[in-house]
Amino acid sequence: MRGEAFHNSIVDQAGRIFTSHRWEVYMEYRYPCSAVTTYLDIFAVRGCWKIGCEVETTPRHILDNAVKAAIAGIPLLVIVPSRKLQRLGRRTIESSDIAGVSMTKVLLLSQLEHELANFERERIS
Amino acid sequence: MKDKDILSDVDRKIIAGQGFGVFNDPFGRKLVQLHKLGILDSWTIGQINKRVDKKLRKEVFRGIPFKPPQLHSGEIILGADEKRQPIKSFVQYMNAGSLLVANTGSGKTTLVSFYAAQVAGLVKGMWFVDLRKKEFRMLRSGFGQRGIDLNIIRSRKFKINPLQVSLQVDPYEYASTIADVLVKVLNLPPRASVLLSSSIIELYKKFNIFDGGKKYPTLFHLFEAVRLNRAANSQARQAVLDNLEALLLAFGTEMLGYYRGWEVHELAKRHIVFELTGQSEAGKDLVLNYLVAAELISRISRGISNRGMDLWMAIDEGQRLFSQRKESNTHSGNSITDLAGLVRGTGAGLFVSVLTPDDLSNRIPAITSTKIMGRCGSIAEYQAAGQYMGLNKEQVIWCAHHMVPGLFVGQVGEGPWRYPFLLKIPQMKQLPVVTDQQADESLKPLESLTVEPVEFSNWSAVDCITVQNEIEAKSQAANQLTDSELRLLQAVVDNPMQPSSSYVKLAKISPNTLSKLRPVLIDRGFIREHLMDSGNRGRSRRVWEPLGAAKEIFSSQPSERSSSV
Repeated sequence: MRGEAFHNSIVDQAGRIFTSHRWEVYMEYRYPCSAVTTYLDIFAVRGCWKIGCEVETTPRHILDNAVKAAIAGIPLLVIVPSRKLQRLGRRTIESSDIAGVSMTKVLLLSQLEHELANFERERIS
Repeated sequence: MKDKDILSDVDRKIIAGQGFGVFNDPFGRKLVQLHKLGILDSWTIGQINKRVDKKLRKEVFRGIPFKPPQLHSGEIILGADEKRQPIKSFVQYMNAGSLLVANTGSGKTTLVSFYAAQVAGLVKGMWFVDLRKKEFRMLRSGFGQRGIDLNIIRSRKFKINPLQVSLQVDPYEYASTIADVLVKVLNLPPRASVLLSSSIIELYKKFNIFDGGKKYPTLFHLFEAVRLNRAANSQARQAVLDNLEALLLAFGTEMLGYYRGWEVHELAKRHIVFELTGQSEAGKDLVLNYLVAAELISRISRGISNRGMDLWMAIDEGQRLFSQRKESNTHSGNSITDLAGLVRGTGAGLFVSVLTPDDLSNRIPAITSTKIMGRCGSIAEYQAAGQYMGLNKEQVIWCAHHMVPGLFVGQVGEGPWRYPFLLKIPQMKQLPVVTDQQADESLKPLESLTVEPVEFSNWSAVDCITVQNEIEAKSQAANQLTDSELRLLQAVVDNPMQPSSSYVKLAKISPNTLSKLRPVLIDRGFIREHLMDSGNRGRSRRVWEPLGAAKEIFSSQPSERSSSV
């Protein structure tokens, strides 16, 4: 894992949550799509469903990640450690007028489980 | 046999029309198909003539000897064409290197800033190198609005150690690479390379680098090692001492006195402005060469080859850095031009802007595939810069008479359409000034990077340096801790990233003691606290991360450790 210890610890915990929901988890996954190569902290696959997951401890790369995921055409969950960062991340994404970034959700780690359950329910229905 | 003998008028019209792209629509393609099949009745010929003649007439009245650009797709806008339509390009085209030649006031920095704003969101890291001015720092507010943090490193705020081995690089390999870089940067005779290389390897052995040690010798240690090596070739030794001394005195321990400076692969993930204004030419060379060499060699060692661009480096005013005269006057050439040839394969894009093609290293046009030319000062400069992108005489003369600030001639490095074209860059709005204080504040995110300073007692080129003994320092730090502090620290090192409350049980101390020890351990740099919210309401969890100082205390022998705790 390339991040700092705090970042890596959140990635590990998020990976465990994905695994507990029967997702196949790939860490530091290289996802090439058209002209863009995206590196995802977690790339989770379950059957034909795919989700990218990025852990961000600063607001710096939230929008870049959202744009990359939009270009690659995969839903992205950005996991942040604090509510403040979550608000900031959501605002950054909402205020950008770039097409496709709305597929990205900014979550706390504790909200990931609920989000995964929702995702599965939506896809099944 | 000449073309005019075998080609009919219609053939010539078809060839001319294809050059102008008049047959690119479905009906046009049908006309070309009919021509190929030889179905040329008067109506078809009329349609072909009508289309081509109309375009030819338009071209004559257009008065511009450049073809309208056929670049309509890509993530970034290179500029606007004469009809104010965007000229697009894929960001990966920039991976193969770009060269911008334009004299002062023609909009070089505006153009780089315009591209930078677009590329910023598409790459992981971005390095701007301001060699003479302090203009790139003004992009900070614009980047901030897009959620990108631009760090500005002023010329005396660097914390680097050129002898620090890059990520996943073999220390032996790194020693010879950095020795070569130092020879080129300091303009040393070739023999000095062997002396430097062997001295660095000796130092690595002394510092246990080959056994996985992470406390690297510094250039100050190297200076002392060479100084004390009286058996070395005297000319090489004296050359190293003379040149290195000047550099060490100029940079001082505040910039180079770190066992572990900023890790270059960490810097490569960030958007950074390196301001080298005010440094000596050798100093600029050293910083740039170290950054580029360390990152490239690390990428090569990691097996990164022919992948998409994830680091974009823009070097502004690189006239002296890429000077042909400098390259031929030095003993072993210019290190950075050698390295520049490697950047593409390792996923790093290089954008070099220079004032004039005069005295520009021959290698730079050869290794950059995207070329851009702005207003130049003389016909000779237009001719030289025009040669890089294959401009004909008419186009060069047109440029000499028509180029104005903001207007450029470009040629992209990849894709199916590689003719030179005209492009206009929008005028940059007045950007807010970034003061030195604000620039220094922007460095706060870099504080999270592990840095280990060296304790020197007033280093000078004459006196020997005194470096604190590692084992002594470790035991001193451990002795200064109380029993409960040690217990808590060990619990944090053994179980990192746990909520603070869980350490009460793990360290077998009371909650009151824990809350008393917390600020002490944070202040002394043993642990770092991260806040983590667990839901929409409630207090944040405090997660503790052990830092290098804490880990070092417990990295000694297990028997020592158990006796000290």
